[in-house]
Amino acid sequence: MPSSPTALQPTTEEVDTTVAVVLEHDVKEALRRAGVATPSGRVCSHPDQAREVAERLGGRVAVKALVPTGRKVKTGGVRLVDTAEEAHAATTELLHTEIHGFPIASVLVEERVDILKELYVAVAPDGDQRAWRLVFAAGGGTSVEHELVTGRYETLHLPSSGRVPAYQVRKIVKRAGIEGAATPLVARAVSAIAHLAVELDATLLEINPLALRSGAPPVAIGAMCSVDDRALFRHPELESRVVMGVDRIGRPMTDLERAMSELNEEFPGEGEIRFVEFPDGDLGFMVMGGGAGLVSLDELHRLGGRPATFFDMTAGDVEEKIYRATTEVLAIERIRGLLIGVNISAFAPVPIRVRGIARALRESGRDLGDFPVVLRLAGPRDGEAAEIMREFPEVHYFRDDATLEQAVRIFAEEVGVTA
Amino acid sequence: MSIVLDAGSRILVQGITGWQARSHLPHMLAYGSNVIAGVSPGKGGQVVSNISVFDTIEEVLDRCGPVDLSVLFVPGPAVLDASLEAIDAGIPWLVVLAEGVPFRDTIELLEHARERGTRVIGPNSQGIITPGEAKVGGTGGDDPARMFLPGRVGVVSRSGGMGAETCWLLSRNGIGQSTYLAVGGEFLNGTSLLEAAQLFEQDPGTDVIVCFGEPGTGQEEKLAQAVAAQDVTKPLIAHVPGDFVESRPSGMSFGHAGAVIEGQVGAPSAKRALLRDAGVTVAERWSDIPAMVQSAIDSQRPPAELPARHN
Repeated sequence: MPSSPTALQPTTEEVDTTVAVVLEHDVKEALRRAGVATPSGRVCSHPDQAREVAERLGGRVAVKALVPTGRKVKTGGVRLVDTAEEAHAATTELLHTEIHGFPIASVLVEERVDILKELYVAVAPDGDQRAWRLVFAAGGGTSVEHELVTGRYETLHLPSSGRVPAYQVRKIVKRAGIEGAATPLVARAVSAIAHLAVELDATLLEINPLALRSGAPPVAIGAMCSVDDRALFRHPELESRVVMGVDRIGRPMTDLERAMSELNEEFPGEGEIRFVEFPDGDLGFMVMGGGAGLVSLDELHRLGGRPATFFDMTAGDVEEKIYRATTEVLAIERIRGLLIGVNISAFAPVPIRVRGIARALRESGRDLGDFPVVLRLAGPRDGEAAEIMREFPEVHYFRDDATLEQAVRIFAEEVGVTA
Repeated sequence: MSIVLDAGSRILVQGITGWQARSHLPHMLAYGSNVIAGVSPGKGGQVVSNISVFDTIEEVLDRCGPVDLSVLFVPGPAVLDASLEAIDAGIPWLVVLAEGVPFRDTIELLEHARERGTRVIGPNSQGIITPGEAKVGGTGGDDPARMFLPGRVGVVSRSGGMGAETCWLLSRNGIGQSTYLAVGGEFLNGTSLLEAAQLFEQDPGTDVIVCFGEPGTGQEEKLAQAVAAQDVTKPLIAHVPGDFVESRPSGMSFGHAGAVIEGQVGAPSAKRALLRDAGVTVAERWSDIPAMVQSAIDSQRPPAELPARHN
């Protein structure tokens, strides 16, 4: 599957998707430049520094972990304290903590603002409408999920420029329940946030909460932003500020997942790997191609098989990379067999992949008499690939003489899976 | 008959001097695609696979005449500008193959296309093929006959690989295709499954429609609504995989906005239920598709004309 906006992309996968994140202090700097108020504060990488900053801000501050993940309040990444000493203690604690596998290297120490009401603003691309979508709710903070799920929010679609007439924003702000003098103040901030999202090529810009104050413009208290990594070429200003984070955090990355992501860094460009390890599975599964992977996983699932891996790799000059990746998978002790497949290819020569796979099998030390391997790779020059695989008489190699589902069934039989 | 593309379609290739075009163009030409010219800014006057290269589309229109369809082999960052040029030149169809088109650019180019009446397929489409007539993009490679067979079944897919493989499976069962269209794997694309199905609905050369869906987006949901509303009346066979991923616990997403959609659409089982309720024939297994298509074909024919079946 292609890369997609992190937030509005609905998916039921547990897959941790890599996402290009701009950390909160940098988002807030961009917001200030766009004319949106933010609390005073500073980035601190030492508890003493945090104490100083907190003192200057009057002691009553928020200490926020700077990590590329969302939901910081729920994961304990935000500490609200009342004195500079407490800020010191909270910082000491956070700097020794990890959130979803990310060590906390610095914190943002910010003044705490008196809030009349918490609001919520998010902007992201909308695939159905083929436009930018702005979501506004007059209930923010940690309760926003409830507001969103129960449909208590307003939506506005923006043109490609991200600029919409002010009255349209006032209309949704008013509809959401913002009254009187606050309406234009909130609308102005919301418009600025919308335009900033488009300007940044954000896949999500979420301000939660946007704090309503009495008689003053609202303040962006919580800010998260992921950006479209395909647009980074036109954002030199973001180059040093984007960090790779994860979306859909189910758990920290496993060692093997980290190894695969390092392979992507070592072999950039062609043959991009997407990989997930399922700790409860016992079958090596490497069916490449988004749709092919889904169809084959479904068949394996129906037959009662439990994959230990999900592996996808785009085409290219990938012999070395697939050799390394296959070697990693073959080294998973608990797997009882390996299935490798790919869609009938129209242009990628099959021997490129098969040569890499053959080398990994040869060097793995696995007893192929006792470790079923089924391959289904069809396409240009697959006759040559079949020749290569003759070296492994125990391996079932199919070209287009079997469908992906048939290959899965044979694999399931070989490893003795029962539904 | 077919949709979007046939043997007579006058095709322009944008980005014709790049490596991607250079590797796919010979296969397109060998298959009979009527490529009239190519564009590559700064490369005007060159010739690629016997096709003349121009600097601008304006020159192509002046020198070679009208264009029905432009296929963009340009890389992601260059897609917006190249498509705006084609849209402003009034070309009715664009096929965008590139991966990596920024979302902001896709939104802008689709907005522009809507205003000017240009239809866009992609981004990230593997291409289109009308078997026996023409193909654009990579689909079919250098040996389209291995996978595609001329016929009367329209195939549309969100997965380029599985769409082509579905055509291969149909062909292997003696069922030919009118046109195969890969709408592109993007979350944001110019032609949805429904819009492709509507094109097949209008095509006198298509009797049955096959649709390969995927988890996520609201495309299958919209298709189901249209079938329920009788906007698409031809027999439709759909497969939406993803039960395994649906069976996994879902994680915590980066932002909250995801919840807005996630509660409502996206799950393959829900998509299949909606499609089935709307009257679509849903293939639980991908390999069930050919038999379902065959029975849809058979039921459309008057019984007296049924050919003898040899099993």
